[in-house]
Amino acid sequence: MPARKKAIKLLTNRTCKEMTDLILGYLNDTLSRSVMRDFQRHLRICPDCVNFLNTYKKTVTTSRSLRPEEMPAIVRDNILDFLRKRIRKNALRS
Amino acid sequence: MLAYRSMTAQNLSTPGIISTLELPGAATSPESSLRSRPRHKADDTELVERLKAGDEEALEVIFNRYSAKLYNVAQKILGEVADVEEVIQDVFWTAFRNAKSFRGNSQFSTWLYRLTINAALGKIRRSKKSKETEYEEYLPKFQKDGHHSVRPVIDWSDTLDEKYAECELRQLLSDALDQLKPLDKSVVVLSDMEGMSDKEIAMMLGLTVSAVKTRLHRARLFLRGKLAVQLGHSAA
Repeated sequence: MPARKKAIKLLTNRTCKEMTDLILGYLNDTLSRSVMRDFQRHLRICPDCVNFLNTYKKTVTTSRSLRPEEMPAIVRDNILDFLRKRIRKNALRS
Repeated sequence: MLAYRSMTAQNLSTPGIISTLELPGAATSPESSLRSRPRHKADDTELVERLKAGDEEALEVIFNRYSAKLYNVAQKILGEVADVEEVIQDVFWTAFRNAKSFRGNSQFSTWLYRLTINAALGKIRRSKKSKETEYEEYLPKFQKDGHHSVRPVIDWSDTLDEKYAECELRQLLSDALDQLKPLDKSVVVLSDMEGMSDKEIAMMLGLTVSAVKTRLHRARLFLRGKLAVQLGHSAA
C-alpha cells in the first residue's frame, strides 16, 4: 500500500468513499462529534477529498445562485382567464 | 359538495377574482359582500376558510401570494412554459375546487407546493419526455480500498465562474437537471433552489427525511459529475 494511503488509513479511519457519503451531513452540520473529527482529520491529509468537497460545494452554490424564473405576463393572464372561465362555468352548472 | 357550489348569486354578479386582477384598483360593485370586507393582510388559515366557502377574492389573494413561487418550481421541473402554465392553472383550480379536502395537517403553502409537484411529475410521466440519464457514469468512482479511483481529483470550483457567463451556467445546470430522475429533480429544486428543509420536502413529496437526503446527495453528485465533465475533467 502506498505511503500516502497508509497514512490516511492510520490517521483517519475513513476512506475517501466514506468521506463522500458523509459530505451531506458535514455540510448540514449533522455529523456526530467523533465522525466530524474523523472527517476533518481526513481533510487535513487528503487533498483529493478537499478538492472533491470544494467541487461538491461549488455545485450546490451554483444551483442556489440561479435566479428564479419570472412568470411572463401573458402566462399570468392566460391562467387568470382560465380560472375565470372555469369558475363561471361551474357556477352556472350549480 | 364542491366549494364552488357554495357561491351565491351575489358572488357571481361581482367583478370576481379575475377581472379584479386584470384591472388592479378597479371600482367594485358596492352591493358585493366580498368587496365590503375590510382590507387587511389575511393569513392563510383565514384564506383557506374563505376558499372553502367559494370566495373568489380569497383565490385572488392566494394566487398573488403563491403563483410566482409555484411557477418557479414548476418551471425548474418542467422547463417548457406551456407545460408550466397548464400545471399552475390546474393547481389553482384544484385549490379552489377541492379546498374542503385540505384538512390543515400541513401548512397551506405545503399543500399548494405538493399539488404543484404532483401535477408536474404527472405531466412528465404522461408525456414521457423525461431525458433522464443513468447516473453511474457521472458519480465518483472508488478503488476497492475506498480511495478515489481517478487521482488527482481536480478542484475546478474557481474556474467554473471564469469559464462560463451566468446565463451559460444556468443553461448548463438546467440541462444537467433535466437528466435527473423527475423525483430527484424535484428534491434538488426544493432544497437547493427554494431553500426548503429536508423535513418540508419529505412532507411535500411523501418521502422519509432519510430518502430525501439520499436522493439529494446522489443528485448533487450527478450534477457535480456533469459540471466536471463539461469542464474537461473526470466525473470520478
